Amino acid sequence: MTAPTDEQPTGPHPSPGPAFWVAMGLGAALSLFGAVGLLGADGNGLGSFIPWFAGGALVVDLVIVPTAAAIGLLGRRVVPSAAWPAVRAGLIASTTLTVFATPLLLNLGGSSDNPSLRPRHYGSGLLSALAAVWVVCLVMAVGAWLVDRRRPHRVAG
Amino acid sequence: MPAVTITTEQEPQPVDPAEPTGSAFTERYASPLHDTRVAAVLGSALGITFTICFATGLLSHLIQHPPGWFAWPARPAGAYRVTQGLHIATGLASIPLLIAKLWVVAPRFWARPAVPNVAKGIERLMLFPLVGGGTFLLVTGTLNTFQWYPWGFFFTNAHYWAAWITIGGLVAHIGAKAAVSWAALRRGDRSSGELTGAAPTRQRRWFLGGVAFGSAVLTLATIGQTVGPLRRLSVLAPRDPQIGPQGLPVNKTARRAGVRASTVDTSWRLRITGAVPEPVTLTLAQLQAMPQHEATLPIACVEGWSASARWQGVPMRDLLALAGAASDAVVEVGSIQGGGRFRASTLTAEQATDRDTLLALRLDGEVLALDHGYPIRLIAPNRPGVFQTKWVKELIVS
Repeated sequence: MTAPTDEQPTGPHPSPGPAFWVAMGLGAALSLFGAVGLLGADGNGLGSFIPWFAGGALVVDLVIVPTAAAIGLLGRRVVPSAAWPAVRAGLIASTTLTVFATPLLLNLGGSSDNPSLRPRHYGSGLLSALAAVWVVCLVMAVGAWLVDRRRPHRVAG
Repeated sequence: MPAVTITTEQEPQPVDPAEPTGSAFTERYASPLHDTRVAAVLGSALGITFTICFATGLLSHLIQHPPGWFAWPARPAGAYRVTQGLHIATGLASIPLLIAKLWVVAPRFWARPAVPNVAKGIERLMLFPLVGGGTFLLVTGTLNTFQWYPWGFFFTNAHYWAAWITIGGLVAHIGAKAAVSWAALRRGDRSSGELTGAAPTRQRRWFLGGVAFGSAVLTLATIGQTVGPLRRLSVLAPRDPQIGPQGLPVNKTARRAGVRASTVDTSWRLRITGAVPEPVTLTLAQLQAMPQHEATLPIACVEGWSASARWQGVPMRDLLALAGAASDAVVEVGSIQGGGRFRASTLTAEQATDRDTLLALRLDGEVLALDHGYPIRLIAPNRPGVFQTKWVKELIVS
């Protein structure tokens, strides 16, 4: 290790205290307990578990988050800035609902002999939920935009 | 003299939030919402939801695989319905929170050098169980509520052990971030955080409000599968507590359990064996002739739906008394179904002697549908649905 200096080029936390190391030790022990338990578990299907586990982190960090960022960049340019936060809330809610509903809409999995599993018309359900979300969000967006227009104008940026 | 003046002027100032650390692209486009205070709020919310999920999930595991030191009481009758409903609801509510949190801290994902020192390296390494595990739990748990299993592992075991892996990551992350988050939440002090954004209050609140709105909408769209009065609002719930044979959902149909109407014809008998003075065999007519008791009890599924119904049948304690079983007897309730993990379930002495623990013959006054376990099923208070054994053929006393 290099000698400590007054300069702290590696960020605000060059030397964490004992609580940090206790938490790291305890956390690593719990994770290790889980990993060992998994190795000994019935039907752990490691060849499938590992890609699903690692894939989740990669898909979120490399696909979902950059996509969200790109939509945000685009939205901030297209939508008036006063209206954007409400539109963004609508986008968050409707994306969440749509992604959640996709397996229901495509009828993936389940069991055809059980009419009580997934008994609804999820297409119309999703549309009505999205309609409710956008009524709320567009009213707020337009309201915020109108209020902003009445104000003495601020410097853009 | 001038040097001293500069130091005192600098002291009250926080670390310059605009200090550029990224590329020209991020400097131009980065949102001020990549802000330690925003991350602290979302992180705290996720810390709470993941802790609730872990505790309720662990409880459900203990109920289903009780070690010697653990006994799940028969009362209150609806406790499991609440804990498991909470497990699924907090998990679903976490989905927008987790994505928002990872977006807020995304600049740190790309931070270079990736491993500036040993402590930071270990801290970042422990993010893998947290992010990988958190995502894994939310995705597999959600798909389990749809009964969609597009993978090669056994869901229950994988979900359980992944929860331990994840909670380890959470403990480590809380250890690394508690002080920074506390400062940001209590005093609005971002100076010890690593994110460079500093969103104005109004922008921060709108963003957090939007994420909370996403969580609330998904919750409302699904919670009616366990909170009956909201069932009409929950347009995306995988279950409706009022839809199924006799107005009650079914998790495993008779067909999937390999039980046909012909296997429960007039030759069906209930046998009470094991630690009893004399094994007892009862026909359906004999059970119908016994005093019937009515109880309103929920079926509460691990998948997060639950529904209450009025059940009529013979109290388990009457049957045990009839067979001369000891008052502290443990009872294994066995089904006609040939195999499967939930072919049989066990009642502790306390559960077996509860006044509402029935071998039910009727549901809301009607003879049980085959999918609900005709000719008789177990229904007992405060029990996971998979333990409400259907198509009962034997009670083994020990």
